[in-house]
Parts: sequence; C-alpha cells; structure tokens
Amino acid sequence: MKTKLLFTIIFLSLSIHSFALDKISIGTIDTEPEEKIGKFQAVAEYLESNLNGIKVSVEIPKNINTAIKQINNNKLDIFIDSVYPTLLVQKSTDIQIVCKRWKKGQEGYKSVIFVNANSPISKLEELKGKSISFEDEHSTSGYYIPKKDIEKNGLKISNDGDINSIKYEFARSEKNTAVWLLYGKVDAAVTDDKTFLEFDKDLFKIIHKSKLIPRHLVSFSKRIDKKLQDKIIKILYEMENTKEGQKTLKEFSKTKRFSPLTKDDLSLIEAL
Amino acid sequence: MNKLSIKIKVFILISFVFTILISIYMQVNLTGSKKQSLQYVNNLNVSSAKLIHKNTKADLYNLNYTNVKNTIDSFDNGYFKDIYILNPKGFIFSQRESDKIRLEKHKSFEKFLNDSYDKEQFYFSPIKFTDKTIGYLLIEINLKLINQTLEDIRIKQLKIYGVSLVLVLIISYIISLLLTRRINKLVDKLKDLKPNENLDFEDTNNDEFSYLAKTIEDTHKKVNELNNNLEKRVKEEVDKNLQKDIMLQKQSIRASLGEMIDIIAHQWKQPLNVISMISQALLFREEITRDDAIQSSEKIKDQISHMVDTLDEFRGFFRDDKEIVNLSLKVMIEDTLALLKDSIKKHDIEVSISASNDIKAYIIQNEFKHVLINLISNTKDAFEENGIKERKITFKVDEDENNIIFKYIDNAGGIPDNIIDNIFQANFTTKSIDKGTGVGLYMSKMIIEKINSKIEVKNIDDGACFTITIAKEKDRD
Repeated sequence: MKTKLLFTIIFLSLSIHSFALDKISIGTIDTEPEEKIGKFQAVAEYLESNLNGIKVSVEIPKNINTAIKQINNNKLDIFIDSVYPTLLVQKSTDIQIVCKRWKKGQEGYKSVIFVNANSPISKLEELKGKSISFEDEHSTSGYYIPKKDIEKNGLKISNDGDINSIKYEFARSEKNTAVWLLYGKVDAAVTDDKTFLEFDKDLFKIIHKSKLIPRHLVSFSKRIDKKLQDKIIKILYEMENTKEGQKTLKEFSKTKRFSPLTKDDLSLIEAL
Repeated sequence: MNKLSIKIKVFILISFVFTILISIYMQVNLTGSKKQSLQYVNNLNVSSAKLIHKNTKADLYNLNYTNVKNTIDSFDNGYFKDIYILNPKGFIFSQRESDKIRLEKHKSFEKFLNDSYDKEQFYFSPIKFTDKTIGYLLIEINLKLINQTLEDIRIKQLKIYGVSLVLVLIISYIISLLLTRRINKLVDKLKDLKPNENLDFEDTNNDEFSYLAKTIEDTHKKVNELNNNLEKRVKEEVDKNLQKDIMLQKQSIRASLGEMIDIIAHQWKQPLNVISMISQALLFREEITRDDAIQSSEKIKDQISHMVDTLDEFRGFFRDDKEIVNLSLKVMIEDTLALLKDSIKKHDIEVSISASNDIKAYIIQNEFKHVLINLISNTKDAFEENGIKERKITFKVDEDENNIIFKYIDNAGGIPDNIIDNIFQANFTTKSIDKGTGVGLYMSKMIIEKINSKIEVKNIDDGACFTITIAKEKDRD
C-alpha cells in the first residue's frame, strides 16, 4: 500500500501532459453545497487571477460517489477535503495528494476516545463488550482514525452480537457522541481534540488520543500537468505572504496557510 | 383672563376640550395597545413554544443534542431571552445561548416543581412521549425587550399625542378664527369707525350675532344722530354764550359809559355854569367894551380848555386798546382816581394808596381801569345804601416771589354772607333796577382772568377786601 501510494505520487508528479488547460475546477464534498460554494469561490477567483488565462470554477459534490464521478469525468480538478474522504476518493480515481490546508488555523487534529469522568474504564482494552458512539461513517476523526486505532489494539468493532466486540452507533454529530455518553446511551464516545475542549472538562476523561492528522489535504487530478501543478502549488504557498492572499485565506474558513506534507503526514496517510 | 380676546378664549376653550378628549382617547388607546402587545407577545410565545415542543420531541427522545440545539437556536423571536431543553430530572440538555454540554440542573426547576417560579419570566412546558415526561421546554422571557417594546409603544403614542396636540392647537386656532371672524370683523369696523360714519357691517347670516350686529349698527346710528344733535346744541349754546358775553360786554361798556358821562357831565357842570354866568353878566351890562369882551372870552376859553382837558382824560379810557403792557399799578390807581376825583370828592371818600411805583404788572391798561372804576362805583353805592359817614377806600400793592398782590379794601359794610359766593356771576346784582346791571363784577372777573390772574373777595371787619393776584411775567402762561 505504502509503496503503491509513493509510486503513484512519483508517477503522477512526473507525468507531462501535452495539452494546456483553459479551465479547471476546485471543490470539496459537502451535503450543503451552497455554503461551501461561497467559501471556495474566493480561492477560485484568487487562483484565476494568478493563473493568467485559466478559468477556475467551483464544484461541490454532495457525496463521495459524486466526487469520484466528477473527478473521473474531468469536472473536478483540485480536490480539497479531510483525510478519510480524500483516501476514499483516491481509491477510485487517480488524484494525487500534493499538500495540506491549515483549515480554521489548524495544521491538524487528533482523534480522542473518551468516557464519563466517573466511568471505571481507563484504557482502550477495557472497552471490550462495551458500546461506543462514533460521529458518522465518513468522519476522519470521528470514525475512521479511532476505529483504526481500536482495531490496532486487537479489539473488534461490530454490532453482530459478539460479547467481545465493541458495539457502535453513529450519533451523526460530534456533540451528540458526548451527549449520548453523558446520558448513558453508550459507554464511550469519539470526537476530535478541538471539539473535546468545548466540553465541560469535569464531565469526561480521555482514554485514547491518536497521532496528529492533517486537517485537510489538497489533491490534483491527472488533468493538471506538472508545470501547472507547480504553478498552482506555488500560488497556494505564497498566499499567506500577500495581502490579497491573506484576505482570501481568511474567507476560506479561516485557513492559515497551505504547506507541504511532512514526513509524519506521509507516514500517517500510508498507514491508513 | 378678562383681558384676553374672545378669539383667544375660544381658542383656549376648544384646545382644552380637544386636549381632554385626545388625552382620554390616547389613554384608552395606550392601555389597549399595551394589552394587545402583551397578548401578541403571549400568543407568539405560546405558538413558538408549541412549535419548539413539537420539533424537539423526537430529537430529545433520541438524545440528538445537535438537532435539539439547532431547533432551539432557530427560534429567536426576540422575546425569548433563552430557551432550555431540560431532561426529566431538570438537567440542562440543551441551551440556546450556550454551546456547552454539561450536567447541571436549571436553578428554577425546583421552583417549577413547587409551582413557585416566576411565571412572568419563565414558561415551562413538559415534553411527553406516551404519557411519559421525557423532558421540559423552558423558555426564559425577555422581559426587558417586552418592557422596551411597551415603552416604544408608549413613546410612539406620546409622539402621536404630541403631533395630535399640535394639530389640535392649529385646528382650534382655525376654528376660533372662524367662530370669531365675524366678531373680529365687527370689532375692527368699530375700531376704525369715525364719528358720523356709518358702520356698514354686511352680514348675510340670520343668527344671534347678526341680530347683535344689527342692534349695534342701529344703536351706532342713533348715537350718531344724538351726537350730531348734541354738537348742534353745543354749538348753539356756545353761540348763545358768546352772544351773552358780547351783550354783557356791551352792557358793561354801556354802564361804564353812562358812569363816565355822569362824571364828565358833573365835571363840565362847573365850567358850563361859569360860562353861563359870564354870558349872564354880559347880558346885564349896558355897554360891553372891547376889554370886557376880551376878558369874558379869555374866561370862557379857560373854561372850555378845562372841559377839553376833561374830555381828553376820558377819551383815553374809552380807547379800544387791548395790548398787555407792563405798568406800575400805583400809577394805574392814581390815573383812575384822577378820572373819578370829582365823584370821590362829592361822596366824601378818603382814599389811601399803599404801593410802590416799582411794582409793575402786565395788564391791559383800560380794562384794568374799568375794573377799578367798577369796584369804586360799587363801594360808592354801598356807602350810600349803608349810610356810612366815614368813608374809606384803601389800595395796597405788594408782591411775593411769584405774584403781585393787589388789594382793594373799603369800609362800606361788607358783602352779605349769603351772596358773597355769587357776586362774580353774570346778571347777579343786589342793587335796585335803576343802578345795577349785574355785569360789573362778572366782566371784572373775565378781565382779570384774561391776563391769567384771579380776583377773590372776602369780608373784613367793616367792609370788603378784593384781592387780585397777578402772576409775574416769569410765571405767565
């Protein structure tokens, strides 16, 4: 998996497209596209003004399948999303992860598994035969990462009735997971470390914390050649240094900057 | 208040009535608005509460915090200070004004259970599922906003009230103008009305005011007629008085003339006798020589010369000289006495003068002499009537800072007390018809007053004292 990913990245980065694009699109997955269009429009306009003659539009697919279709049909070229959706999309397309986005000023976050403050559970192993609430099946920090971490500890997450398995439910929101835990619907809950800080610290205790996960990843479709890739990446990296760029970043969900993936990022992505 | 015009009074009255009516209306309206607003807010709260109740029920049952929070977050009608969803034990499940997830009982929950909570501030509603209470909706009412809304309504009403009052004042003023227009028109006409001018008040109405205006107009016409008659009568009376004065003056002059002629006749009697005797003597002579003729002629000439002198003296008196001149009163007295010397001698009157030549007064010479002659004449008559043997007349002239005081004093017995106040009136006399005309003292008074002086009389021990006070030049009008 690791080798395959690296190979893909290297191959794609070295690919040279013989034809020039006059129109590209940028987007993310969201069930409510209207809100996201406005935020992505600012970046699209910024890129368009710096790309000399290339028009940049916004595409917001409502789900992963739509995103895959749009990328494969050359309708979505720059895909920006969190780790889990990006990896799911990557499985069905040939997008290349090129850098990361510091969404809401954060480079990344950690997934936390927590229990009620008065719970006898103090480590992951003790969740055996208990129940847990995840956020939803597409959440990186609220499902994908903690599930992987639990499984790494030899535990099974299943609703098949096995008394050794951890039963799970999707609370459909990061705060619901905490409320379910608080009102005794589940024995443990999952959220990201930033959301956890919003909870009353006396109510809960953390029993597991994941490694730092990049907040958002930026991926290019194969339509974007190396030259254009470099140009776009350069524009994205330079945004934090210009006044107009800073303004655009602020409008773009208070993004602090775009930056290259670190060694740890690559390792984490490979491990997933 | 009595000094205010009818227009202002009407204006005040109408304004007052309107203001009272508007005040009552506004008070009723304000109370109604307040009730309506409270009812509206209450209805809004109840309907909102029902909706929240309905929309949160399933999510509360499923412990879907996010949906419950989204639901209560979306209810912001302004009158809700906060919205809480409590669990069955009163713990805050979700709060609109806080994102915090906590395990904390609401402070009013126990009071709610005891039914002792502030019902004006809080709205409690149990959320039930199959008769089992799964939680509570608690709405904290924004009393401040409600009060502010009511205050806004009050201020709005006050503004309307203020505007209404201004309109009332304007309308009242217009009405008062309209109501008093005819009155003011009539008053203006009356103000500008000149004597003998017709009112000419045109009014086509047929009401009480028209009647009043017509009455005023008729009265004015009558007054005009009366005025005209009065003027005519006054003019007639003035003319009559003038005629009377002229007549009196003529009578006075006539009386003076008669007296003067008496004096002249008396003074001529002696020379005429002498001339008669000379002529008789000439008749009885058998032979008249040239010397006799010359001698007689000289004697006759002397007598005639004496008569001419007498005439010259009196001619000056009758000269119509009205010029006011500054003359020594002592000289005036002496000149007058010279005219009357024979008469005074005949009546055996002792005259004394106490005056200085230096005391001068501004008088009309002949008229003043006329006054003195009149006084002396009256005294002479009184001496005769009262049978006074030792007859005395005294002239005294003094002066003070402002006036010259001329006194004429006799010992002719004085003037009876019952007539002393009337002796300066015209046609008043105590003398017999053959002697008195009743114009002497009246004319004397007129002569004296004409030179801005005054004449008074009072009785003294054995006679009368006439005082003429003549203002010095600096005090003359």
